[in-house]
Amino acid sequence: MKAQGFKGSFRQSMAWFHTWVGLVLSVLLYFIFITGTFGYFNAEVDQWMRPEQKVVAPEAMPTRQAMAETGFAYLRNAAPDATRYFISFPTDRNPSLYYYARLAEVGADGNNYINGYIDPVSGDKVAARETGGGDALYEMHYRLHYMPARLALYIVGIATMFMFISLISGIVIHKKIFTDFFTLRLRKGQRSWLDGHNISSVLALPFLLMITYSGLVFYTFDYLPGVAVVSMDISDATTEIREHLAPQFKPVEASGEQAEMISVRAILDAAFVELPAESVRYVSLENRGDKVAEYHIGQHSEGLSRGGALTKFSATTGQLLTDSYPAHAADVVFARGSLALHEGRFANIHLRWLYFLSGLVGAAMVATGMVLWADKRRTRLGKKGVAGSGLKFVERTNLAIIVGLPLGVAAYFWANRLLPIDLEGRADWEMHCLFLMWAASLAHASIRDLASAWREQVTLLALLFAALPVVNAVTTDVHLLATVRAGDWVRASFDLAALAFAAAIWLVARQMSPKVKQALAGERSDAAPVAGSRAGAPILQNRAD
Amino acid sequence: MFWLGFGVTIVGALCLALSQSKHAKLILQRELQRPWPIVARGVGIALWLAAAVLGAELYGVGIGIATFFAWACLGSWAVALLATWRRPVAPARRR
Repeated sequence: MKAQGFKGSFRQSMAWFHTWVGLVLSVLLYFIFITGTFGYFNAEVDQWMRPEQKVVAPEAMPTRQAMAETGFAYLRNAAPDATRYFISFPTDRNPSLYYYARLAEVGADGNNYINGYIDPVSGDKVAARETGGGDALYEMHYRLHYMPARLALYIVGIATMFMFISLISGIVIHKKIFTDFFTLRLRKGQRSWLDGHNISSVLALPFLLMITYSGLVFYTFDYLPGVAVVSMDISDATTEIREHLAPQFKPVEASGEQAEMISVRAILDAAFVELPAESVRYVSLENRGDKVAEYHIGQHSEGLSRGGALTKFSATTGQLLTDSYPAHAADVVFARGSLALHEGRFANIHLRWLYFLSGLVGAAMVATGMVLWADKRRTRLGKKGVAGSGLKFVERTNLAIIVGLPLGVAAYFWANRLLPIDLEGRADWEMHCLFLMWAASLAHASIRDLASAWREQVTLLALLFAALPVVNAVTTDVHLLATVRAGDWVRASFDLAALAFAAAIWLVARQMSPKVKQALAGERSDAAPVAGSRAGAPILQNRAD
Repeated sequence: MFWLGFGVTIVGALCLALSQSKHAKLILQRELQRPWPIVARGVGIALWLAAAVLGAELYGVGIGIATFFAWACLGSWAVALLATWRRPVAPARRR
């Protein structure tokens, strides 16, 4: 006997569930995928968006000790009363020395900290333009924008849970998951969208399941606060959880007694007897100036785990305090592995590119699902049927989302180069440009006939990305030729990737031209309908209604 | 070595695709005769296993397996696009 669900058979119920669960939050999921995918190259995008930042050749890079001294000297000047100094060393992804200081009191800007970048050679603050950089783009995938971060966290959490349910129900309804493993039939109307949706979800399924599940793991205790409340004394829950997750970071209370600090160079000299210098990612001074002050030396994580080993020294006596901690509990090992997989921090540059492409495949899965939903309903109407306002709304918002968001991202990069350098709130204005372009895309999609609007927006997208290296060349001295000549492959790759993306989008735009569509329709003229769809019906046909 | 692993995975995916008659018809323009589909499947699985082992050897088990999944996802995409490129535009079958 077949199991019955609330919409017929179990599989039919799951299909209904998959469609609606996927549709309801698809807009948000597409946004999360596109912006989150930039996270795999956030440091590289940052470099491109800060053209003033100099790239130091590895052989010209000072020693870790010299850089730490440079950083701490800068902080002593900039934040003499700070209780915490933190210096993160340059990596192959970021050529500058990062600094952070926790101030004793809130500063004039309303923050109780200062942070930024220092040139590791000169020791001067990097006078880069104010920009949100790659981080602002990437952080939007969990913080969204124009709303409180906590609210955004919950909204993203709900969307992620929907996505997870949608993936599982998608597996249930996909009968021929192995037979259709490599099946992608292009230029066949609705069939192509279905194939595109299937193949992007099936082939990238391990990635999609991992990224969705680990996304939920990130904020487990925010999404499920009850777990902490019922399993522990409510007043101690946060502290206990923090210590359970990272016992090495258990904070030490300041004694209130002043003491002389040992220099960071002396501490690093002692540390490097045991530790390889290149394994050290950061050095920090906790409770600075206090008798119980400590130097913390953090290493790069090894293997598939988030967070590396930590070695602590007393900042007053120079004594090694501890370099080993109790082994993490199994749940913490699992959580750290999940988070590392999500962020891909362990990934080398090649794997990072595959992560990036997988993220785009995820976005393609959501986008094809959105188009498929609208096209199915359009097909059911037939040639004479009149679309309801709901369908028309979805068709137009589909365009504004699928093409509008990448247009907004292009506008974000353009704004980085074109906005006046001394504009107040420049980083905010870069982001405003993204959303203004997105709004313009929606307005355009609303007033133009749909086929023309698709063609025009896709063409504009190709043009914006193709012209990005040109705008870069006109406004900065780190243009493509200069970066290739200097071996600055991070910035060169950004320009080259923009050109490659523009070329790919241009090919799509060409397919949408009336001439090409007419030619394709001719080739398909003797084709019979594929089950459940119109024969080769172009999904972006000119719709009068 | 990263690209070697990726290449092995793509060839493995190609073998797995050829083990299915409809994809073999698309890619080779003819169906494979028995026992070649079974051989292709065996070779495909063996190559994927080899790539997974190579990934683990290169980067350790955790990162190696993650790397292998990335190879398999994107490698399969490459094969799917190859099959699409070989596919005639007009659908062949009438219902």
